Amino acid sequence: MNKLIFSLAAATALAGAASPVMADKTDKLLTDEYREKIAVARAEPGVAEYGGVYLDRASDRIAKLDKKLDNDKSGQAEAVAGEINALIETARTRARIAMLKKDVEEAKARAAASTNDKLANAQATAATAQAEAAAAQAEAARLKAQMRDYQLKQTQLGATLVLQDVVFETGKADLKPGAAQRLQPLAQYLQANPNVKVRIDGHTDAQGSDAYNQQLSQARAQSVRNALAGMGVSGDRITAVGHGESSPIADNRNAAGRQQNRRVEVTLVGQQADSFAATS
Amino acid sequence: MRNMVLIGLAAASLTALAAPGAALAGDEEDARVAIAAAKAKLDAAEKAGVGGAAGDVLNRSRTVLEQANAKFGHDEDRHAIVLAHEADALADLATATAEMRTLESERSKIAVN
Repeated sequence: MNKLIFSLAAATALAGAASPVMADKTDKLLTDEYREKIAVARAEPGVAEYGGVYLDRASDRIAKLDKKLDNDKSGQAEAVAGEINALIETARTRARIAMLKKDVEEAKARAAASTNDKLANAQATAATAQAEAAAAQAEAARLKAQMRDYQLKQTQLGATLVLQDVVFETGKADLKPGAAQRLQPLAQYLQANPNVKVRIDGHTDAQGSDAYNQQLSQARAQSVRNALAGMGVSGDRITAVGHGESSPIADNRNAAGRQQNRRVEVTLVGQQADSFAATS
Repeated sequence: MRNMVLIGLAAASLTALAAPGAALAGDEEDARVAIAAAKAKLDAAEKAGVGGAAGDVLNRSRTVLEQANAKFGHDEDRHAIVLAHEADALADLATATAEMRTLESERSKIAVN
């Protein structure tokens, strides 16, 4: 571009400077110089192809320049020289324009391809996100359906499920084989809902000493806590408390009542029991 | 025979007088056409809103065209013709330069985006 501006400046300045310069040169030398300038321009990339018509006109003007130089009393030769210079620069500019057009078209094609790529990527990302969301939704629904089997009840603390003593070895805090499997849906739910905290309350019937019952209820609550922790639920989220025989829910004078009293309650703190119902 | 010689001389004289006149009339018409052609290109370039480096070339074209008109007004038709041709070529160059600038700008914008 600098070359072009320089050439333009040179062409523009030629009018003022041409006469003295021309006066110093023979007609032949001057016309040869212009022929050389035209030849140089014609050899430049694209100039013959895209600016050939201007160079041809410039070549035609050489004869006229020669004629005017022969008998130039009024400075007409400088006008012809100015015209030739302008024609040469126009030829160069036309070649530059042709190349620029090609550049612009290629740049547009690249930009369009890039936009299409971005669009395709965005669509793929959106589709993946949609699929993941659908999968997460399906998983949440599946977990809720599993939780439904626990028949959660609403309590003051939250949604509570009851594990009867049948999951424990008689008189012990150890979970029976297969009992852990029963806790699996709960563990999965807690893993999928990391903000939900859990409270485990152990209870016994009224048989045996208070101290023994207190210890047994605490140990059973802790046993459930350990089982959940073993399934990947952080122990920090779980509080285990033993109540012994202090909170019966049925009559301890008969076997059926005592069985109900021997229980471990697992409460999902702050959760609504009806959110696990079939309609939700 | 003498009459024929006289008629011949008269015809020759008339031709000698008329020929430069005919040539001058042709120059005047050529100058008028060249000036009109250059003006048309100049007007088109101005209408297209040529600026920057192209504007400088256009100004040069305008100045040269004014000189052509001045020469034409003083019956210096041949000088007017060469000036009009120069103005014409400069108007072409201005138009091409403006077109090139536009393309360069367009290419830069695409490159940025």
